[in-house]
Amino acid sequence: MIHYSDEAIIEGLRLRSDYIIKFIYQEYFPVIKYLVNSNGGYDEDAEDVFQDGLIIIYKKLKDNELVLSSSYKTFLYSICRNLWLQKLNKKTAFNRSFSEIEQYIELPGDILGEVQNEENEKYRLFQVHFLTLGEDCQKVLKLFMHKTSLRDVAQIMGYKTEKYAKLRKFLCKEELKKRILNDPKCQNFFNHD
Amino acid sequence: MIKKCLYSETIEKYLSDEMSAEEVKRFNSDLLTNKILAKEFQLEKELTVILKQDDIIDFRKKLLKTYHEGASKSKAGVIVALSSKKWYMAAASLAFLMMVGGMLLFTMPGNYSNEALFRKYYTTDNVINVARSGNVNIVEAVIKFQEKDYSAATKLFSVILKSDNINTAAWFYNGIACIETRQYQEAIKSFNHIVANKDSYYIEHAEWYLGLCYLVNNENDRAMSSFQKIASEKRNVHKADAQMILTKLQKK
Repeated sequence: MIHYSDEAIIEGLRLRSDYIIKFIYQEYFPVIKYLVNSNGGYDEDAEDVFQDGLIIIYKKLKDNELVLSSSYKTFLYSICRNLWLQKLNKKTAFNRSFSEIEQYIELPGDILGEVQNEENEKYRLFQVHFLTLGEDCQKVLKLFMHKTSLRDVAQIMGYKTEKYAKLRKFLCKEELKKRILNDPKCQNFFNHD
Repeated sequence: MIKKCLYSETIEKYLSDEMSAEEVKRFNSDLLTNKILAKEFQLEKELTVILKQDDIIDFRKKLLKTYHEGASKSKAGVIVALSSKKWYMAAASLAFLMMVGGMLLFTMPGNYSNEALFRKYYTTDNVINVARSGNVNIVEAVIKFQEKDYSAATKLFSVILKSDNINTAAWFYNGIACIETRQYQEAIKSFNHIVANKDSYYIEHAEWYLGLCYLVNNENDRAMSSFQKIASEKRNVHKADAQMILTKLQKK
């Protein structure tokens, strides 16, 4: 089994290295899955919590604001633990005591703030829906979000006219919004009724 | 019933500055009174923010892909662990395929050259896990290597080796990257370093690549010496190939 040092994991995450991501999944996801499963959650919940935890770490890394006060494993576990506790607090059905799987640390204020930021869940859902769109739609929308001109979009995407590029953008965004609107998980953030 | 946005066209017109002053005024006024329009407009704004986060979307895409590939179950990848039994199976299969291919080559006397032999036998399939030391630079260098940016990889490995001369993994990868960039002398230096230090984890492949480097460099005596050593080792995974090459070289 390969073993990356915490330093290598952090650098690999900063680089969004496929190998580090695979390693992290192999090495740490089972613990988080066990934690969530042991505390009233399903595998899907564990995946969400794990990914949100990694995104929080990545965002801090990107901003050069990450200081590890423990091992990477403990740090990730502590973030995921907090994320899951926060979700549990919203659920009325969970009355049992929380089963700890690993040692955890008290998270620093800025990380805790990120964990408690409810926008994160919304962002994850919206991004996941975006990623379910076709490659063509994803590309068109990204180009427009970066204020690429209609002419350039048409040229990059190989569309014959700017008018068609505009139409594609509209249709792709409509499809994305439709998927969000019809996802029950998004109802907390966007209730159209 | 499938839900749809009701005001997409209006919002699009507003955002594209295609409204008259009067229409803009009405739109802004409607935003205050029409809750659905306000929600849809908010969604539009949020999507714009979210979709601008290219790196996070890319990261999330990789996370989802890894999860769906069941990375936690499958540990097989491009890089194969030397210690694993699977590696030996893969190497045996590879050697067998190469042997069959080699048979075809060797049944055509005179239709070969050192370069041709090298190309026939050179493969990076013997690349081993390198991250044992957990060195940060190694991760970056290996990423470059995996992206087949061998030129950048050799530069990074040379930096690593300046400060970490005993890092056999870096020597090994540097050797392969040097072959890929046709810097055979540098590759020979790397593999010789591993052979001299007798790192059992890498030595078998290092000797093999060393032989191939000598071959492509037309240093036939040294190449033969390397392949003879490999051919004499009972359990060497490159034994059959080394024997084939030796037969061919001896006919020259």
